Amino acid sequence: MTPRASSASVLRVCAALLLPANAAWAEADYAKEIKPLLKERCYSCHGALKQKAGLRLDTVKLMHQGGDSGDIIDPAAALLLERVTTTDKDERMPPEGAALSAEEIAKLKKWIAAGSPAPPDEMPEEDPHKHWAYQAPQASGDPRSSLDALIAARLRERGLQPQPAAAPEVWLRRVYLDLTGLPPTAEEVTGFIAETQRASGANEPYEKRTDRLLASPAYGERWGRHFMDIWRYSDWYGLGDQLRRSQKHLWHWRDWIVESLNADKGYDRMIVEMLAADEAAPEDRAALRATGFLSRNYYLFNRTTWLDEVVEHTSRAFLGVTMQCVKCHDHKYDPIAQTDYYRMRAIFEPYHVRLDPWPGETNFEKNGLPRVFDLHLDRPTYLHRRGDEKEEDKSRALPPGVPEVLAFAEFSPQPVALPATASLPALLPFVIDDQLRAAAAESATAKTALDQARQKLEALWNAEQSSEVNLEQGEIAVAVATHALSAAKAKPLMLRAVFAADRARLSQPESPELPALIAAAAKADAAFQIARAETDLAKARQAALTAAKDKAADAKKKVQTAEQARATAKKKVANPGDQYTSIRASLKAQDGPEDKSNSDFQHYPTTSTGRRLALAQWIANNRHPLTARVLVNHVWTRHFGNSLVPDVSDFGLRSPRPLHQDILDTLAVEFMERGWSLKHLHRVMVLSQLYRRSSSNAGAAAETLTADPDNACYWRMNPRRLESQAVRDSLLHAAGRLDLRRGGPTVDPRKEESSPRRALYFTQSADIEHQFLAAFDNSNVLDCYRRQESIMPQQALALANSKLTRECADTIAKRTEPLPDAQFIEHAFLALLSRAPTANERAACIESLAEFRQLNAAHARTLVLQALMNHNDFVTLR
Amino acid sequence: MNPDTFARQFLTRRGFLDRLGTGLAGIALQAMFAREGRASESAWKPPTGQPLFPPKAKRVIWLFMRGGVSHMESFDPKPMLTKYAGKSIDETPYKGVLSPEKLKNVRVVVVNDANGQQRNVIYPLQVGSKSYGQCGAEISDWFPHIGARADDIAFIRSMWTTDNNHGAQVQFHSGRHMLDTHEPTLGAWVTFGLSSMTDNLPTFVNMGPRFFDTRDGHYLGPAFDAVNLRVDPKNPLAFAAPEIPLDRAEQAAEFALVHKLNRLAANQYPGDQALLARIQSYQLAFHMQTAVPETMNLDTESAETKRLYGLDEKVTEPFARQLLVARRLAERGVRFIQIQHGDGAAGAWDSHSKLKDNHSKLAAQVDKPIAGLLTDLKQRGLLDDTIVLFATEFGRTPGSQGADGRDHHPYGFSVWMAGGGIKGGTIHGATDELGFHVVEHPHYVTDVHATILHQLGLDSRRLEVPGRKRLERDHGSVIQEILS
Repeated sequence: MTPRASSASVLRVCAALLLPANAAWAEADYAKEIKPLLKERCYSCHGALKQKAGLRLDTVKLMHQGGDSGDIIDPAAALLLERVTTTDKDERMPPEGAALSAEEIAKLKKWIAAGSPAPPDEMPEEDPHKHWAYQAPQASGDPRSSLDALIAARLRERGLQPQPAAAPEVWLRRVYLDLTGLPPTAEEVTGFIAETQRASGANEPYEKRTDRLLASPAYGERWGRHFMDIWRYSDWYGLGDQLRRSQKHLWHWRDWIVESLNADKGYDRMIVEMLAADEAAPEDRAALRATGFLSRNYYLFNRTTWLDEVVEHTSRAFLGVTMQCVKCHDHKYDPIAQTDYYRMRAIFEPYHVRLDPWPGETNFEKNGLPRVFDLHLDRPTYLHRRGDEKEEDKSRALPPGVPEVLAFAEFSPQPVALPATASLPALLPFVIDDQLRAAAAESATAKTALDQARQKLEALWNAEQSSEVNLEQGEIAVAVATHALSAAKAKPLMLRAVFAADRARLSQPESPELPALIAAAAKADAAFQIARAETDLAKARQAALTAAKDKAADAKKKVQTAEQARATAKKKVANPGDQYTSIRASLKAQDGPEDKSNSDFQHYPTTSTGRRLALAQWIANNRHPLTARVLVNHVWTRHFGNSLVPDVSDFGLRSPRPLHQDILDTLAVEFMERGWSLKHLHRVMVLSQLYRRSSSNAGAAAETLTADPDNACYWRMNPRRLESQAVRDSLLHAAGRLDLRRGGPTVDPRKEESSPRRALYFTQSADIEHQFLAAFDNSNVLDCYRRQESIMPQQALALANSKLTRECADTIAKRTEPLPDAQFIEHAFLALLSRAPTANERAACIESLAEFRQLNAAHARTLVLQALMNHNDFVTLR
Repeated sequence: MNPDTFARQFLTRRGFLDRLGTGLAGIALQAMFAREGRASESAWKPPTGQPLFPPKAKRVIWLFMRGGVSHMESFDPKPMLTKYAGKSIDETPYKGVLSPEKLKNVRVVVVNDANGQQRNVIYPLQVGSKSYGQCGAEISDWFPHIGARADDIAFIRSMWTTDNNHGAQVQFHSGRHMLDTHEPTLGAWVTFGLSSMTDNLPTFVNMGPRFFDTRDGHYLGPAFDAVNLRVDPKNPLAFAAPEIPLDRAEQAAEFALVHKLNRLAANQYPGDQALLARIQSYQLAFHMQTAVPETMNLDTESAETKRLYGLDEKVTEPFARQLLVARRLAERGVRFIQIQHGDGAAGAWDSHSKLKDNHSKLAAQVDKPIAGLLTDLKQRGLLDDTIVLFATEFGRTPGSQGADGRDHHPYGFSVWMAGGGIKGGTIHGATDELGFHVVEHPHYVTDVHATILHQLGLDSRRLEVPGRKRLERDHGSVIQEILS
């Protein structure tokens, strides 16, 4: 007996144990037992996506046809079995992951021995290029079908009965929270109910209310928060003071998001500004804020990690394409090659991050504009073998490009010539004024310091017990202050001269006056530098005078260094030449922890590669099959509580054609036709009949409940749990305590628990946890394409025990003090649940009030209010 | 299968509300996979909450020493360091350890950082050692109490990792280098795989400082993050008690009203699973408010027990308190108790200078409490089904850093395990004479994970979730040699 036969007989024994005795292998078994196994373990290399060794396993016919080595399921010599059972590691299939189990092998063997039965009409896998999401969306109907018509048709097809409309106030609470993140006030609820009664069924009150909410600035804050999730907003963080990730003052990007949404800027334009405002609108400072999308990915330590995040999240956020696995190998599910990944990286290879000055502020710790620009114009991109950054394939540099499967339009970046203010931010019109103002302030401070030093010295002279040392210290302090004042006085002259020279250099390089301006700048700079060097020297001497014994040598050395610096500066004064230091008006992000001269870096490239702009224009293109669909799906998910394409960030081959593709496509086409207007899209959704439908099962037809228990066809609305920020903001708003001021720097994390600002203004990073928000699945700054909606006891604890709920309840209790109990209860329900209580609820509250009063009269109403804040429907959109 | 149908089935099968009691795990995950359409992928089935095969252990106490414990001055003493003290490694018979091939596994985070460098001038052992127990394990004099328990312990002297900086803490918990994606930590996987054993406590808790990654669940969701507990009975977890004091009777009455109103809403929304879950979550929360502080309250523990842990001594008191609480949590059904020792961003054990001072002080804080925990668990019969792990992110360099410190050393270090079907008195694996490289039975950090999962009756390959590809190395291999 050969070894192979022996192992085969062992397998046969196993098979006999595992399978029903005498089971006849039928076609159905292939579909149930064999095909799923082959699909999971073999198709990615031997199927529609790839045909390694010319072999496909996705139909029995193709397996018989075989590849380079012929039929692989010939019962006489089944190559398939040989390759899955061999112990030779180089030969074994599948090459990755665990070997097939004995059970799986036994099944394969039995099936092959039975002659590989299969259904006669077996179809091969679809060509991945024909995947539904890779084809342009088509709108349904002529004239175009509404979303309700499409839903109605689907319900009819399946014999499902839609639920009736919910009460107007239920719609009102939905639309307020959905569009502004804040519930309606009690007065708004009663007002709206009255309006709808007056309008007797007309749509007008709904439309008016929708338009009013869309026009409210709170709309941009609400949807800004959603997009901050998807676009991974994060404030800077690091270790102590060391900035490791993102950038300081990234809130400028948040403000841009909110303002852009409120202005209903087209989503296509938003994409262009986020990826390439520095190329598309280099002088538009408001637009430059948008590039925070890319600044956010800054990572001090590792450029590859940084760019990996950019590639992954740009493609997931805008395109629903998953790229992370392509970093190491060709995609197993999608027709995307490893080279596609590095071509995409090449688009971002040149970019870097810096802070530009913000008008009115010269200190970058206090304010500045985080923005991107192309710095490494010629840096090549190499493929990393197996995704290992140490294994660059330097045999060829990869050009920038987009995945081949999506190349519906040519990708041809054109270099962009930049204006002078982009390559030298010191030339921005407000910079010189701000610098001069700061210099004047420095000068005034220096003057005061000198006066004080002189007074002190005088006092020392006059005092009887002043020692020599004391006097010497006093004198040197005066010297320091004197030199510092000279430097402060020389600074404005230097600033003006340097500014004039730099401006002429960049805007009138041919001007005959240029050499004179440069000479003047060099001279003024030399005068400033010598004053500074004198100051430094005086300071070093001062330090040496007071240095402790063990630091004396060190201090002396510093004096020597300062003396040398002064000598150099003196030489420069004697012979200023044509060199000078430009005004420090920007702060380049460090290229790594070793990059200490990043703040000296002031002259940036005068051109940009245009790669990011080309990418943005390719993404935000009416012909792109994915961009509008992905966006519509995100918006739908946040209005209807379920998504049309289940995984909101993966529209690849793992996302089968969605049930409601017609709705997705029709809305996507309309969205693009309407100038990519988000407000239009919201309007269509929230004014639909579907959006008005009740979310309750109550009264539903039994057939409907049986046929579609999970509401896949939207015969009712879906209830949703509010996001963390909406829960918190709603509490404060219901109490009338929410501070509605917009924008600006983030709230100090230490003050957040008691801050009345909307939660989107809180500082947010991977290092900061806000306890209350954390209980309600707060957004994860690393990856948050969709919030979770967990139900956990900590939520109960937060709502029951936090100072926040208690204080809000107290405020409402105080406000409603004059009301009799019945009216108080009415108001409490309206303010917190946006509806009146039912008779049973009213009775329950009255009863509890009496009970609470027995326990503690002072708290009774607060407890009722707290109970309503803990009601399921306070954190739920019904 | 339609994703939502799937979710419903899962919820029902799994005992939807029972799953809540597991705490704090909620229903988030099921719903998440369902709605993302991942559940319908291939033949994936969510974990049942039951072990896949008969388990040897039910729970884990995970003791993590932050900063990097010197393996040579704890559980893998190397006399050659003293012999060759002051010499460059090149001048010793062991210069081969520096061959680039052997050093290639390391993955640097901060290039040219002041720390995380190779240090090649040999630094002598800063403490003596002796052999303990029947097994004769050689252990440093800083850990005499743990030494006395040596026959209950399996020492693994052959660990390696790849991060040369303290991100290795994340790596030890999750199996991934911090420059890669964030994977769930072992505690999250265990919570995902096994249902709860308690109705009024969280099933996965953390005590002590964390820095590099404060989340556990990651793509499994926040429901699988450890719940941070403090040993303070007055303030043991966030919002455990009313921040503005409220009489308990009043609160009970308030909760009763919440319950009544939610029940009324349930009539209007029949079949709303989320509403039912929320009702249940309030009951659990109400119990937790009592159960958590009760667990933290050590008044009922005997003086003898307190002494055993070192609660009566100033040096050992803080850690002793945490470990005694850990035992109480274990008794009450908490599945995964994760304890971090050592303050500061990098972790207190990070002895770049004054190693002797630092390690002797820190070892004195933990040695007696840990030994006390082992003794106490054993005498109560809990050690049989509780795994205790002692771990750290990496070892320290055989060479000196500055005058009196050691740098980070990812090439070889020691951890140990006890209880839960682990074979006591085992000395497994070895580093070379300098403690530099692993020379016998090398184990990447996930081998520890695989071993713990195995003892709990789990297999990480069968916990994988659709759409999240784990690498071969993420799974690790069971360290069979230390199992009894």
